[in-house]
Amino acid sequence: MVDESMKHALRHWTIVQPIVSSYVHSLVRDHSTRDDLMQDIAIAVLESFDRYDPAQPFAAWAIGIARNHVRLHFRTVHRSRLRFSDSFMDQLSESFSQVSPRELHHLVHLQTCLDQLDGRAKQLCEARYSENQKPSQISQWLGGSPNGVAKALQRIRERLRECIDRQVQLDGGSV
Amino acid sequence: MNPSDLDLIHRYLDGEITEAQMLQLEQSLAGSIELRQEFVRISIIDEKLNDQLRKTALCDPTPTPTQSPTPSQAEIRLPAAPSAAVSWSSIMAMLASLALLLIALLIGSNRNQLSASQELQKMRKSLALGDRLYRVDVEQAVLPNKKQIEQHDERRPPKPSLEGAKLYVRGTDEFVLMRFLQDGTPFVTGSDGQVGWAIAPNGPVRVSQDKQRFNRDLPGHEHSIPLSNLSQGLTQIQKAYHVQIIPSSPGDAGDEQDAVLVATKKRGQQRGPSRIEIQYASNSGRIAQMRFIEMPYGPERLTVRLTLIDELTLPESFFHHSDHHSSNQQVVSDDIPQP
Repeated sequence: MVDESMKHALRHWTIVQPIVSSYVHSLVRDHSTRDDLMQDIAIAVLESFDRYDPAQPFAAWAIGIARNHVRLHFRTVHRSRLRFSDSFMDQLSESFSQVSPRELHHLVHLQTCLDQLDGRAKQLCEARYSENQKPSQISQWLGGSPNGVAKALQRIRERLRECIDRQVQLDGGSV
Repeated sequence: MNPSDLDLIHRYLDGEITEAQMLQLEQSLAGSIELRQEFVRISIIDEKLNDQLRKTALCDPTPTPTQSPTPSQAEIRLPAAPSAAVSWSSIMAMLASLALLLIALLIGSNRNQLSASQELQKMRKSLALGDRLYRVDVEQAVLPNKKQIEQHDERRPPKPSLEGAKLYVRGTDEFVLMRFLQDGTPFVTGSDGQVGWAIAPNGPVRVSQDKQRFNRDLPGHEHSIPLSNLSQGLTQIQKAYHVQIIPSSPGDAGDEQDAVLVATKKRGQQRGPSRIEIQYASNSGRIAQMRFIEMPYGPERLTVRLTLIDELTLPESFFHHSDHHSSNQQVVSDDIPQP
């Protein structure tokens, strides 16, 4: 049977897994790589749970393990120059570990906000995320300049964030 | 906050940042807590958009301007899903399944030291016995983008859907695959171990001395995991995948115990499904079900489930093409004549 310690670890992991996933995705920017890494990170977190100091935040500890896995990935598999330095990854891990689970829960409104986008914005989102196209590729299909598409995507993400904040306030929560 | 720094964050997330801009972005982020917090917020939205819209794409086959509605895509049957509030429920479902999987993995690693190679060997022995009928189900299909379609060999005709297909297998090189068009007309391909053949509706029977000529109608043949030769697939799993065995909880004495083999593609292995799950009887090695997750199939990536329907003894002639068409149907050779 699973012992109490493991149940405890799983409870912790279930809460922080989304933010660890966001941290990894922000560094590798590829969902398949993120998924592969998250499998390894989950196992590493649970296997080394006996070394976790309960006086410290669990999210920071788990993100620390994730950072080591991402570093290893960059050194051994993906040697792209378009990546952050190891020292900056440390800084970034601190910023991610400060995100509260409540803040992540606000993303429950994302679908509502996506539904409110106009046709062109939806097309851009689908091309960028469903089909994993870069702005330069999207501009060939949907027209406009690559810079114009990039700017439009930027505005869409900003609008979505504002919309999520509004929805949270409508629900009576604080942003 | 400098607007150009924000631009760089978005450029980075869209994968269109240059090396010089990357350095500039890192310097700006390193020097400003506020900007780092902004980076975190935008990154989280970006990741969730990625997850959410990829899921929506799987659930909604409506073509977007960058997708061509090819016949093969139109045939893909996709599970219906409610569009509202997918995000949180899907996150929770993912977490729950991950937690269950991890519990299972941990139970497996702590309580059982089964050797993966021994288990695979047991399965191979089981596959060598008798004839088997499997049903093929397509759980998910990741639609290709325009570029991937263009990169694919356009000379190849679209493949009929695998959903609901029947696959009869004997030994390592005899098979009959029956796919069904929307009106129920069968499209049958196979091999009797010496001659490969295909019987398309309204066409002649094509035969080839290359017994594997029509294996390509099944996913996996390019990656040494042909569904028509599961034994070969097991050998490939041993070579190219990390394998874990998850035994089930003990049941009553005398019950046939189920176990699950989970194979995850090793890093650097470029081809083949990303993950394979095999549900089998741990005593006999008899495979009840196989799932191939993100299996390349033409320009698409499928999650395919193969379920054992029956173990039977088929007539000797069953794997020969003549058993599947009328005697007056034209038979043509698909082989290039030798000079």
